[in-house]
Amino acid sequence: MTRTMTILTDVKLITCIVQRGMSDIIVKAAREAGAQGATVTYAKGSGVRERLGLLGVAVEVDKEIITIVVSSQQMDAVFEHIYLAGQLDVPGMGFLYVTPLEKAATFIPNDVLDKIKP
Amino acid sequence: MPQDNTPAPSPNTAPVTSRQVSYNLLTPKIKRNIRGEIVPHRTPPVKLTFQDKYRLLKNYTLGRFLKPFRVILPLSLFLGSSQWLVLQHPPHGAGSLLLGSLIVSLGLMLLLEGVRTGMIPFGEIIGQALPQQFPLPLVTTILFLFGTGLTLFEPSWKPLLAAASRLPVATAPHVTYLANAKALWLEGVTGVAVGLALVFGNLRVIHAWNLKPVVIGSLALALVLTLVSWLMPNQEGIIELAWGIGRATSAPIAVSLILALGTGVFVSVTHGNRAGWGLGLIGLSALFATIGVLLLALAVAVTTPTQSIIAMARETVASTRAAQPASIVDAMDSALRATLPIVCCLAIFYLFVLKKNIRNPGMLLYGMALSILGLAVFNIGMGLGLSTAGVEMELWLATLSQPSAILSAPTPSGYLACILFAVPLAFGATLGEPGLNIFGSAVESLSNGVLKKKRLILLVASGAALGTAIGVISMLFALPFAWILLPACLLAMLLALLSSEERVALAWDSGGVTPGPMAIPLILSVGEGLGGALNGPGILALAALGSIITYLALGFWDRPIPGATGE
Repeated sequence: MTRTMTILTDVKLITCIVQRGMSDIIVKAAREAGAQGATVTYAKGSGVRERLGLLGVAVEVDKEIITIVVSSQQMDAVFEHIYLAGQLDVPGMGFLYVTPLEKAATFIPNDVLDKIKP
Repeated sequence: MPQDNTPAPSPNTAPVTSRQVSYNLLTPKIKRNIRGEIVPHRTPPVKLTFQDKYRLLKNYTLGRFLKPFRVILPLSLFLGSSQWLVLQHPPHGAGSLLLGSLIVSLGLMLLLEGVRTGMIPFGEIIGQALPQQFPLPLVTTILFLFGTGLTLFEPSWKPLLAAASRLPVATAPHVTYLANAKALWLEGVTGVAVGLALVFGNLRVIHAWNLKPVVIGSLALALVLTLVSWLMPNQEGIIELAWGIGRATSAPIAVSLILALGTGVFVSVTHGNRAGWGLGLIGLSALFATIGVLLLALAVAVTTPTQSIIAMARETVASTRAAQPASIVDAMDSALRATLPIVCCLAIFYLFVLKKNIRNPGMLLYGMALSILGLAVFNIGMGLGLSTAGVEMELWLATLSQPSAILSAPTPSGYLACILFAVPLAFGATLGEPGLNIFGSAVESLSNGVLKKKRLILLVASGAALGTAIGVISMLFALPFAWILLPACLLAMLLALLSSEERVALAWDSGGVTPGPMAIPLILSVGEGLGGALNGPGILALAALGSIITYLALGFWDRPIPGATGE
């Protein structure tokens, strides 16, 4: 029996890099704005911290990278919600960007697929 | 130029406006020299507005303060209100209890941050550099001295000793003798035991020996010694003291350094066995200290006749002073005593060995200063609030569990009240334990976030509550400590045998850090209030064993630990 692969189009990847321990807030915000999943990895990074002088101690070297796949329609809402929840307008709080994705695939329940069939 | 991009008309206007700026306008223009090579660009410092500075610092401090505060405040409130309930009048110094919990949280914040930025990185650097730069015999000597010194200057297990030295001679001659006439020996043996544990633990990492046989072997040795000591006459309280000291040796700063040392050594040696991340040193230290004290007590019992011990104990007891509540000077003093030798030792390392390995000395110094300050603030806060409340609690707990003026006879409801009181107390105090918080963060970052700190702390705290409950029950019914301890040890041994290498390391390490400066005074007070001063230390050991057993037992239902070899 052949298996069917559902290929998703109109997908974007939102990546958010925040200080260690902040990922819960970001993931929660992303979910609130309709994102369906998130991956968190640990990393170290540098940026504005090195340029803050003494205040640099207030920025953590250890980071978390949150990657979230969203639909192109959701993108702006999720992006905005993460920005606000993560207080990315405060120095050292993090960095946020979107990458276009060619395509994506994962498990999608059949009843969900049936519903969207024309 | 920046151009305003008024948001596209959307059904609900967003609470934020946006504008677009080309990143090209923000990045520096690269210069080339005559040969066409790029001249390295130096990023200028960022100038922050006052508001930005404020928001940056607010984010930095507020979260770090609130986290411990959310644990400490309920604990203080619980302690105060149960005191109110029992004594029927508001507790003395309710205000200082609240102020104390504020200060304790502040101290915890500073301590945890200092350890994270200073002590742990430094320990890791030393651990990494030692095996690479020195021959093995020298490494072991340094490790031994390091562990011994660390323990000798550690003030956190002194209350235990002080309590033991104040015991009545008639009930526990050997304990009073050890704690008074042989106090130096007792400290020395504990120090040497921790030093040996560090050497052994690190050799284990370097040579990739497994941890499980070591833990199980030393546990078996401790068990046999306990049994012997239990069966010998006049040894009342020795078991409790030995197991209690074993639990109390590793306090926050020592924990962080030992932990970092182990993981540092682990990183520097590359061999096939990657299990356990170099953990296990803290658990081994605790076990070795217990064995050391048991051996010392046995040696004293064998060599010195009981009559002369009693006589000598009588002489020395009178000269020891009673425990005093910590003043600010005391707190600063004990914090400095705990850290200064370590810092000096680290400074020597730094100057003579590691200068080239350290990239950011400013940050490390900041962290170390912060940990000393944090420990001092923490001690002040404990002295102001929780410890003092603990001492009062000791008194009213005694009235609750024993026939007294208030309650004519020990009633079942009085027993129940004691247990209902001790369980949340042990749970809450363990949640706020600085050493456990440090350990939890370290494990979370070692496991790349798979083993969550919150989960580890919750598990350990529940275990500690369970152990304390069992300890309280055993005291209320006046069961011999060994009846509880020996089966608990056997169970822990069995579980260790069945568990994976990593889980054993995690369990014994978290058991080694659990009753620390936060929980020791409180749990000790519960024990002394209910069972008399003789039984105080025993309940600490049971709390720790409870954590170990709970962690190991629940491990069978848990996901395997990443990188595990045996699962």
